[in-house]
Amino acid sequence: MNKAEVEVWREAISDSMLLYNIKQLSTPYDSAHGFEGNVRIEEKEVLLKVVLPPSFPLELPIILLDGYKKLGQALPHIASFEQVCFQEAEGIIMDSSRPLHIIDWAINRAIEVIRVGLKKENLQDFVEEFEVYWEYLNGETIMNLFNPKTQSGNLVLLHNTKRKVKIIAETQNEIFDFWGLKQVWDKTVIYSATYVVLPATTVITPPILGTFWSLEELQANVKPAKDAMPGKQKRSLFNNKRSKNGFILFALPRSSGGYSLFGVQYMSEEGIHPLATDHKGAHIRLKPFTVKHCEKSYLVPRGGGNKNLSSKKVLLVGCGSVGGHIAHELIRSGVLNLTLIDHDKLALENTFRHVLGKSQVGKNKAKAVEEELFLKYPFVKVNSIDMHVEEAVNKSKISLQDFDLIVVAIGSPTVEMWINEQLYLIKHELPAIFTWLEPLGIGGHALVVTPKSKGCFKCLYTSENEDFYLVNRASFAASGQRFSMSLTGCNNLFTPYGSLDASRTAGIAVKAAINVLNGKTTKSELISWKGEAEEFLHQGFQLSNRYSLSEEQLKAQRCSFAPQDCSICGRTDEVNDELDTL
Amino acid sequence: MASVQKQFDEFNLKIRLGKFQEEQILRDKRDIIRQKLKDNLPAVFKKYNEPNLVPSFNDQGSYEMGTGVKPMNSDYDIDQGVYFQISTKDYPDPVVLKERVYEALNGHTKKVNMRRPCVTVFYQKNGEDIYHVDLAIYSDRSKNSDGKDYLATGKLMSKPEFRIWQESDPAGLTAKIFERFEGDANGRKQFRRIIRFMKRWKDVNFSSDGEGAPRGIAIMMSAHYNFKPHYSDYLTQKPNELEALLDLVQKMLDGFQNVWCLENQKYERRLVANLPVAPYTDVYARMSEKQMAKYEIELKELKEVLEYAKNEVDPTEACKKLQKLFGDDFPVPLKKETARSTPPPVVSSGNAA
Repeated sequence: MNKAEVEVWREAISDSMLLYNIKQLSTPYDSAHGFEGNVRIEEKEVLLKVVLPPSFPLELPIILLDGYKKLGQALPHIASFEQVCFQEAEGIIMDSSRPLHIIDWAINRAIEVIRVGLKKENLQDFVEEFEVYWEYLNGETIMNLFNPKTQSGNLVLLHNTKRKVKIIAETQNEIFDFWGLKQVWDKTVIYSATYVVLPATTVITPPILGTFWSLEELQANVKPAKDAMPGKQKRSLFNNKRSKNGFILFALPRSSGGYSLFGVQYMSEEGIHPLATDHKGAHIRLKPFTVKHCEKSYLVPRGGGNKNLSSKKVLLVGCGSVGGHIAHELIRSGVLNLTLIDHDKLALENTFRHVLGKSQVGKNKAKAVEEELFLKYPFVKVNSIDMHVEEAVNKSKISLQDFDLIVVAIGSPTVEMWINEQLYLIKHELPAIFTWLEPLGIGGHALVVTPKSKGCFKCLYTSENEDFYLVNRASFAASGQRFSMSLTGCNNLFTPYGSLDASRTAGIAVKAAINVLNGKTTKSELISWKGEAEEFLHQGFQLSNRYSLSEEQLKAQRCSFAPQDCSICGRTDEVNDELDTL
Repeated sequence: MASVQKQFDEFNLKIRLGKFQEEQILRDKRDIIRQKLKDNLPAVFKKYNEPNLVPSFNDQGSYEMGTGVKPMNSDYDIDQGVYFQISTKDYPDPVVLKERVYEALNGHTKKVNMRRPCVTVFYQKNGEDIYHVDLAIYSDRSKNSDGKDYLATGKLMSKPEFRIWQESDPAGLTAKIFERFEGDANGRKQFRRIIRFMKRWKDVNFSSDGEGAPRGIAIMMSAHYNFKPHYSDYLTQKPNELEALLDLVQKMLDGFQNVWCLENQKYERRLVANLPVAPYTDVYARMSEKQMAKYEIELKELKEVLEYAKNEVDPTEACKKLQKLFGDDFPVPLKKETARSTPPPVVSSGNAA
């Protein structure tokens, strides 16, 4: 973009009569590229400034409404510094070969925003983006941990002078949850705070133009909230309250769901609450504050997680290459309550396969993953057990009944067989996911076992055919081959595979876990992913017939892996039949 | 129910053409003939003052489809397509072009014959044919205005009406047959094995002169229309050949019906299987009513034996019966071989997490 080009565009816009009296930008924009011109919108004469950013046409032009304050009317999508928000900058693609058309389009969009605003057709938009306008007031930023409710009530504001943070919460427990703390912070001052919910469909015009709300304006704007309250509540929240310093958190329901949160801090000489019915003669100063959403109901679903998963309890057995990824992905999916079991320590040779790298070498894997999760994520409830799973069960360190799901990522079929049997011994229905991967990237599996349907881990090892004795029938590797290779002696056996295979396997296991927890999966199913076999074959190994199935065939057959006569899941059917005949 | 899958596996290994033995010999013969044609054809065309033609080659038939079995009463064969870049109009009498090929190869071995659909080169040992290569001569689709390949048919003494270019698409047939096994390698393998079993059954149960027996292509087409893969365990893709054969034979028997025969002006009980590509003819057309009747009887007996084997508990007894129909290459296990031994309690597993 150069001066000559801008001149051409200016003339073209002038010729199009979209704007008239077009001239060069006046101060304070006279050093920028662009131009300004007049337009009549809804009987009002306004001056638009079209400022072209240095990277134009890779970026949209900026359009300013000159003399916004003189209009005497706050308009949605135009903040106090006159910029017209006619298009979100994200999620667009521009044909940069047509700069003139981009300018023309932008001016038209801006005119439409102003027109609709002047006609008051989009006042609801103030509510949708209320927090943005409130932020422009440049108040103090305060963290919010309180999950907005439909009822107004009392809150607390904690000011930690050491960490220099102010936090709004309902109880101090929310603060413990967020940071995973076990005890109270010192150097904390507690202030009174009030939570006020406005009724749905309330429309408030934010104080964009001029000074911040007076006491009367505040009262007038939030009157619908007070009108909706019973007298008793009004007395306890406002009229009978005495506090010289306090905070009010307002929740304005959005039509698109959720609340816009904004805050007002007050200093009251007489200790009278600003929303008290009788506030005549009170000396109260008001200041806006910006609310930083840190509450669970906002953060956890925003991370792509599912809200109702946060209360589910999951037992994860195995925190190795696959298990480490599973722990992280479960948390990121919103499953916040995990118990981790692993008896093994992180060794240096795990470095390039484990999600923790070398940072925790020498530490118990479960403990190390637990600490990492507390460090990375708020609201998590994780505990770890440094034991073999059968020992933890036998010594009552855990009770399987306490969990909603058990995920097993240990790659040890003998122990997995034992866990599988436990599922059918306890009375409580406990679904499980067994997950493992195969050598040299040929694939990985996640087996969902829901004890009420047919199909369990033992089924994979159940076959009439003697060739399949103690052989996993789901395997992509042909039976009867040895894969472990000794690196530094016979105690250090490990199966070679890449970190990518581990995370891909964890991926299918976590998807399966979420589907079980939210009730989408009710039947036992075997989910397999197939990788490249080049390296595997190159090393002289053989593939099973199952490997030659296509992804579609594998998917289509995922529920039909159970033989008739499984000694574990077949057993319950017999018992059921007997019960039926009684 | 007896598991005889192991015996079918062994049977298959015995009757299939070995990739590095029989097939290698056939490949070598084929390559020699290809070279011979390239070397000798220029002189032949020159002799008749015709423009020189350089042929291109394609494998076809059971060798190409991987369904060949070791012959019992005849010699090994391989089918070879020889494509000339000419239109059918360039050689109105296809036999003339066949003669050129014949002349280029004559004397290469002791016996070179011109037959109706091909030119055949025989390899002999002690006066007996042991291998032969069938050369099918084509007018290439690139030179014909309709874009189709034509097969030169007719022989030296044929009347003009039998000297014709016949539309033919062997590559299209192979593609058509195997298209349904796209992405299903296990089904494709079983399809090939079942065809081999049926061909061997045909060799064992029909007279050696070949006249009464259905052709290999007929077995192939019946399988094409009726075969469905069967597994004893879908998860491990463990094949169940007995079930697959039984299913195929049952469906073939169901296919026998009364067909109006134009030639004999009466209804005949026949099995029909048309080629799914040009020339779209019935591959059973040349079998007489009597031969058809025998075919049906033999198929019924096969079905009964397969059912017996399916219901018999003892694999040894089941295999004895199967051997009668499939011949001595079908193994019969000793009683003690079929006893189940105790497997070791520890097996290596490739699983990790």
